[in-house]
Amino acid sequence: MGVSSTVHLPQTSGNQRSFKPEGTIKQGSWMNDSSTDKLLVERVQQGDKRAFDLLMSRYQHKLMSLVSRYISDYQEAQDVVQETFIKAYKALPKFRGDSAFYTWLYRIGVNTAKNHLAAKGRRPSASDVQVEDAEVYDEGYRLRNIDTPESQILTSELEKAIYEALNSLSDELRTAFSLREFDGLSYDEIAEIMECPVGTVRSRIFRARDGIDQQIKPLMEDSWGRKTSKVK
Amino acid sequence: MSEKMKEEISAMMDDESSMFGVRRVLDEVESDDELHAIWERYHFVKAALNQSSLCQTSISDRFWAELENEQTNVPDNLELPEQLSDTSVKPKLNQYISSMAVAATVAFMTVFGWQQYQGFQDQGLNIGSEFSVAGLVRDNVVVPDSTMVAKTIDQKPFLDASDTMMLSDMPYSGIQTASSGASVQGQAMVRQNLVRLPTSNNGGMTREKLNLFLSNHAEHAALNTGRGMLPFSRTANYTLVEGAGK
Repeated sequence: MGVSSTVHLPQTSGNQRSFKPEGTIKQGSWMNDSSTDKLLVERVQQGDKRAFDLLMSRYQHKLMSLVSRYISDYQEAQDVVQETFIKAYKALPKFRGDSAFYTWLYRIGVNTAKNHLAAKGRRPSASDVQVEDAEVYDEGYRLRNIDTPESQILTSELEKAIYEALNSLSDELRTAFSLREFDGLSYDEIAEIMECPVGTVRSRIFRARDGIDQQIKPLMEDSWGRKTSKVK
Repeated sequence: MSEKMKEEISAMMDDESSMFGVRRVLDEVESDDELHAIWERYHFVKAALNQSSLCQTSISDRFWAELENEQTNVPDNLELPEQLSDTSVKPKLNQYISSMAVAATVAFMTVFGWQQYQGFQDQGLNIGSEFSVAGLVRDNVVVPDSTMVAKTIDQKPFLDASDTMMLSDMPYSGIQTASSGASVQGQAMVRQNLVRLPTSNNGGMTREKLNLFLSNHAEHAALNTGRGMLPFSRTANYTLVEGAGK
C-alpha cells in the first residue's frame, strides 16, 4: 500500500483550513452526482417531500458557500438559501432536467442573492459569481467568514472532531476516503490506484465515513439541536 | 438500520449507487429518520472537508414551516396576480387595441370616403374624365396629349398633336410651377369648355385657354386630396407680359 504516502493527511493542530492536500486537483466531487439527483428530483416531482429533504441536506452547505459570496451576514445568507430552496421546490414540477439539478439550483441561488441585495439597495460585491461559473465553482476555500462567534466555535469544534476522527482511521480507510473527498476520484479510479476491488473501496469509504460520523454525532446533535429533520 | 443500508447511503452520496440502491434508500428514509440524519451528517462532513461555509443548523425544519405558512396564508396573494394577468389585464389590453383599430378604421374610411366623394363630384363636372393630360406640360412645354384629343366629346381636336406652345412664347411667360418639369398625370381633368376652345393661336384665345388650364390644374393640385399626393404642377403665380409671343 504505497499509495498512502502520497496523500497528505490533515494536521489536527495549527490551521486546519489549510489542510487541503497539496497537488490535488479539485474535480468537483459533488459535480457528478447527476444520477442520484435525477432520481431524487423524480421522486420530488411525484410528490415525495422526503426526497426534497435529502436534496436540501445535500446542497445547503454548498449553496451557503455560494450565497456567502454576496451576503456576508450569516442570518441573511441563511434566509436567502431558504428562499432559494422554496423557489426551487415550487418550480421543480416544471424542471425538465435540461441542465443538471445543481446548475439549475445555483442559478436560482445566484438570482435570489442578487435580488436580495437589490431589494436592500445594495450592489453585488466585486467577487460576483456568474451563473455560468456556478457549475465549476470551486468552494475549496471560504471567501468570507460569515459565522457568528458562537457558531464559529461550534464549527471549529466540529471540524476539529472531524480531522481527529480522520487521523484516527486506519491507513487504508483514510487513503480511500481522502482520494474520494479531496481528489474527487471515482470508486473505479480509487480501486485502480489502491489495487483492490471496487466493492472494497466502497466498503472502505463507508467505514471511514461511519468512523468519523461516530465521533461527530454527539456534537452534531448538540449543535443542530435535534436528532433528525422531520418532514410533515 | 443495517450497515448495508448505511453503506448504500455512503455510495449514494458519491453517486456510486445503483438505481435500485437509491430507490431502496429512499424507501427506507420514508420510515427511518435516523437514515436521514446520517445523510445529513455525512454531507456535513463532506462540506467541512471541502471548507464550505457550513450551515449551523439544518434548513429543513425552517423550510417546511415557511412553505406551510405560505400555503396557508399566501395563496390568495399568489393567485391574484395570475387572475389579473389572465382575466383582467390581457383582455383590457386586447379591448384597447381593438377599439383603437376600429377608431382608426372609421377615421380612415371617413376621410378617404369624403375625398372620394369630392373627387367623384369633380369628375361629374368634367367631360372626358377618363383621359389623361399626361404630357400636357413637360418642362415648361405645353404639349397636347393625343389621347385627350381623341377622347373629346365632339371628336374635334382643339390642338394638333404636333402643336406645341412654349410657355416662354406665351403672353404668360412668367409662369412658375411649384414642381418644375413635373407632369400632371392624373391631376387635371380638362373641363368641357377647354376641349371646345378653338385652335386659333391669337393672344386672346391663348390667354383664355391658359387661364382655364391653370385654373383646372390649380384646382386639382390641392394637397388635401388623394390626387394631390401625386406629382403635380401647381401654379404659384404668373406675370402677364404684354406683347410676348407676338
